Order: sequence, then C-alpha cells, then structure tokens
Amino acid sequence: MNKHYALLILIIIGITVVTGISLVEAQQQDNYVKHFTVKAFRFGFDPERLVVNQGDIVIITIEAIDAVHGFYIEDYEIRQDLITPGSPETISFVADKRGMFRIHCSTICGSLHPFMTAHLEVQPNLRFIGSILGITGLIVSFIAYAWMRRED
Amino acid sequence: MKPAYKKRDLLKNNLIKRIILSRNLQPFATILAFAPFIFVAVTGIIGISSGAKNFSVGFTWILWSVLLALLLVPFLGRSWCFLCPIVWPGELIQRKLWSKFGDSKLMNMRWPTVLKNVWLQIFIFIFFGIWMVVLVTQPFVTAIAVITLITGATITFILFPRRIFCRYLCPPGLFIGVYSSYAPIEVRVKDRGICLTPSSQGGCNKECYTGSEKGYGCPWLEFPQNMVSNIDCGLCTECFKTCPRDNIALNARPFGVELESKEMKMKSDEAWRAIILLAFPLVYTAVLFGPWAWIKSWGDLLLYTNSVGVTQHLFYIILIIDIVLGVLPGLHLLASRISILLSGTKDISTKELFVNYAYAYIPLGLMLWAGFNFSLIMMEWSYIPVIISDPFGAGWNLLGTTHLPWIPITLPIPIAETVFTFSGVLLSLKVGYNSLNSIFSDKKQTLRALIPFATLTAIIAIVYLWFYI
Ligand code: SF4
Ligand code: SF4
Ligand code: SF4
Ligand SMILES: [Cu+2]
Repeated sequence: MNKHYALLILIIIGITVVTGISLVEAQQQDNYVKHFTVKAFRFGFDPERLVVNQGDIVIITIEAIDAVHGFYIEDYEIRQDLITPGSPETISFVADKRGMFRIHCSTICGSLHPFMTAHLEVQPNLRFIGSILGITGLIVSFIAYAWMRRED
Repeated sequence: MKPAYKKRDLLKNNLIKRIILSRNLQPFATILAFAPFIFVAVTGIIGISSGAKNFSVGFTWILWSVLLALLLVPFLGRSWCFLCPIVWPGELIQRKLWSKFGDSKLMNMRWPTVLKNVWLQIFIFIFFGIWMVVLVTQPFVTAIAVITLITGATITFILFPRRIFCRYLCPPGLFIGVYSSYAPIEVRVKDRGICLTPSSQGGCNKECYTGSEKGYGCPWLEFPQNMVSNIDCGLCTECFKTCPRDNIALNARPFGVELESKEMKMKSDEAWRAIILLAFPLVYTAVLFGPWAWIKSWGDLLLYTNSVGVTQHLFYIILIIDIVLGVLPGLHLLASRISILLSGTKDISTKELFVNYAYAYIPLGLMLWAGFNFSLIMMEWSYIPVIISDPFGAGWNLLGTTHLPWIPITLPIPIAETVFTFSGVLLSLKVGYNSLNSIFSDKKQTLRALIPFATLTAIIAIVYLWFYI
C-alpha cells in the first residue's frame, strides 16, 4: 500500500479520535441540580432543548399555556399526563443515561400533537459523538478495504 | 450471455406460478386495498377533525406509509402497484368500457413529449411534501388527497392509454419506483436471444408490448426485452400472461444489484429524483421530530395562529424547496466538481458524474425513509387499535380498545436509527464505488473520486442522526 495513503488515513483517524475526545472532555462538568421551567404550548415546548450533564439532578416544572398538555421523556420513561393551564406540574429525576432523548406531549392537544417535541440532551452525548466517529471510521475502512482488495 | 448477478426464477415453483398468474389475484387484492381507502375518504370527511383519533390519518400515515417504507418497497419493490387502488377505477374503465370503442382519438391522446420524464411527478411530489404537516395531521386533507389522486388517475386513464398516470404523475409512485430498484425481486426476460428471434423463425410478435387475447400489453409502457431496471415495471404480471414463448421470469436476486450493474441507464431526471427523495426524510425528520415549534406552525398552512401569517408560510415553502432543490443538490454538485478535480479526469463532465453518482444515494435514502417510519410506528402504534375501534372518533368502542392510552416503545429507536444510518452509508458507498469504478479505469482515481461523495454521505447521515440519538 502506498505510504502516503497510509499516512493520510492515519491522520484522518487521528484527527477524528482527538476531536471525539475533546468533545467528550468539553462536555464533562461537575454535577449540579438543574432546574427548568418549561412552557408547553401548541405545538412545542419552550425552551426547546434542555441540556444537562450526566449525574445532574434535573427538576422540571411544566406549565401548560394554552391547552391541556403532557410531558414524556423517551427512554427515561418519565411521564406526566394531563397538565392543565394554571396548575403547573413538577417532575424530577437523576440524569443517569447519556444521550439525546426526545420529549413528547403525552396528552392529545390538537392536530399537531403527535409532533409536539423537544430535546433533552444529557452530556457527554457519547452516542452521538460515537456515531460521528463510527461513520468516519466506516468510510475510512471502506476506502482502505477497497484500496487493499485484489481485483480479479 | 452470463447474467450480471445471481438470480432465481420464483415461477419455477408451480404453486407460486399458479397463484401469481391467476387472473383473479389482482382484482381480488385491489378490492381488498380499495375498501380501506374509500373508508379513509369517508372518515376523513365526516369523522372527527382530530387526526390522532381519526381512522383516515392513522390508517394512511401510520399503517400504510410504514408498511410501504419498511416492508413492501424494500423487500417486494413495486408490489404495492400490483394491487394499487388509486388506479383501479381508471383501469377498469380503460379495460372494460373503452376497449369496446376501439381506438377513438379522445381516449388515446398522446402524452406530450416534453412531459415524458419525471419532472412533473417530482413537482407533484414536492407539492404534497410541502403540505405534509397538514397532510399527516388533518383527516380532511388526507381524504382530499386520496380523492384527488383517485380522480386524477381516473381522468388520466380515460384520456390516455395505459398507465400514463403511474409513469409520469403519481406522487407515491415516485417513492415506490425509485426504491424498488433496491428490492431483491425483479421481472426480466429469461433469455434475450429468444426475444430477438424473428417471428419468421418461430419468434414472437412482441406480444408483451402489444398485448394479445391472453393479456394486456405492458400497461407501464415497458418493453421487457430491453428492461434493465425495476423502476418503471409495475409487477402487473401481464407480460407473463402474454409472452408466447414463456420467456419472462420473476427473479429473486440480491439487494441492490441492479444499481451496480453496468446495464443501468443513467438519466438526469431520475438522478434528481433520487436526490430529492434523499432530502425528504431529512426534512420530515427535522420538521416533525425536531424540537422547533416555529417551523411546525409555519408549515401548518391551515391553522393560522395569531403569531403566524402568510409571510411565514411563504418562508416555510421557500425553505423546504430550497433544501430539497437547492442545498442538497447543490452540495452534491459541489461534491461532483471536487471529485472531478481530485481524480484529475477529463473523460467525464461534472454533470455526468452528478447524474451517475446520484443513483448511489438510493440505498441511503431508503434506509433514512425506513428509519423515519420506524420511529413513527414505534411512537404512534397505539393509535391503531384506537382508530380501528372508533374510526370516526364518534365514541364507538367496537373492539374495546378506544380508550387505550398512548404507549410509545422508545427503547429500540436509537439503536435502530443507528443501524439504519450506518447500513445506509455502507450500502451507498458500495453502489457509489462500483459506479465510479466503471467510469474510471484506475482504482486510485476511483477512490479519490469517491472521497467528496463519501464526505457528503457522512454529513447527511450525521445530520439525520442528530435528531434521534
Ligand atoms: S404508480 Fe401510483 S397510482 Fe400507479 S400503481 Fe403505483 S401507487 Fe398506484
Ligand atoms: S413476447 Fe416474450 S419473447 Fe417476445 S419480446 Fe416479449 S418477452 Fe420476448
Ligand atoms: S407487463 Fe411485465 S414489464 Fe410491464 S409492468 Fe407488467 S410485469 Fe412489468
Ligand atoms: Cu400538547
């Protein structure tokens, strides 16, 4: 195999690994109690992205603005149905799972209800960073494999 | 001639042959499919206006679209077109009524040559795509769409011969057609030599195209003798019935082989179709599953809320059109340009490369569509028992499941999305590498040419995954 290409591939792998590690580093912080007040309205949440760190204690107070809404976090299986305007509900949990988890409205509130979503991101999001590295690795190994394969 | 890939004729099995070639199978299957769509139209118009509780929305956008994207198209190609209810009234009129009048001019109008490509179909698809926020949430709009499709098809069938509607107009057909090229099933001639035998020497009279008393000439305007792609073959089985030499096979084959075969003809309108179809699962994911409420309300063209006006709707339309027809094709054009530079070739133009490589996005697009639909069915499956038990949202409780709560199954979604995306990237690179390999003689050149496309593929995959993991 051509030396230049081997070097190039090594450099690409090196860069991605370093980027990955620094991304993870950048996202790692001390644990805190994180308190959010989330407004639920037709058809979304405000703030639309909740970012916390793994290990944080997360407390979310949900206020329904214009209709009866719900609040459900994928995978964490945290769910509060029937939040009526004027009586906010508070949920709390320890953000022990890393990754991005979609938040959905869990009480039918109108036409776009199934798509009333927000994001909870628990950093470091190793799933996402890992997939960036994975896809890069996949492509690099594909090219390397194609390069080294003997044509017949 | 040695076939380019492994294939096995499923009709060698007599039972399968008897079932598939039966004249009763297609009408039977079509009626089975027609009934629920009539019901979609009825419930959509007179049922409850909340999409989540109405049969029309649940059936069309949870059950039918998921069935198409996850099972029928990837595994059985255009199988839906075999039993498609959209064309049923039109084809019935054409075959049972019009055939009696012979060749009246009115019913045999010629499709304008400028429209003998898929551009019009692409625009209709984009039109429906822009409206998807209302389409997938408003029963009434879903009903109107179904009625429009059936009416449009019927009128086209009345005026034009064969399945002009399917070839040049049908929006779901755009999706089904492109991705059927990936399916492990195909209709092809067994031996082209037999087709080429002159009729004076015992050959045929091209009955597969002209039709005979045994069956209709290819409704899809295909000529099996020259067919190398699934994209425009509706699996209607007529040519099996008409070919006097029993020269047609229904082959099982490996996934995606036709995209890698050298016989495949590359056309620019089809290339655009593949790119646009790749853009849509990204757009749908971002708009529907993304965290941005503003884009959902701007796209909701029917529900004017106080804060949203016509300007925002226009902005939304421009945004979608821009991504679908501008940004993504633009990035692909850029990749093609860089690819030419990197490979240092003078044998092929940027435009040709743009067209050629676009076919490699077909597996990636298929996987992203599958991923989008997988997330949809996992999240919303529990509406199905509800709407079947109470299709009009009128308070019925036919199955006792009307009050089933919403039960999403979220655990497998991130894993599945990762698997879909990674396989999409890999399969797409494989097709891309092979198609570049047939352009460039040299492997080094091929790999250099691949790098920009691979980078774009990775970017698309990563952007998509951001919404799921
Ligand atoms: S192309 Fe469209 S109308 Fe024609 S058979 Fe397929 S889905 Fe039906
Ligand atoms: S009728 Fe049969 S043998 Fe003749 S061209 Fe068609 S497929 Fe070939
Ligand atoms: S007649 Fe044959 S080639 Fe034509 S659409 Fe039907 S199955 Fe396909
Ligand atoms: Cu809601």
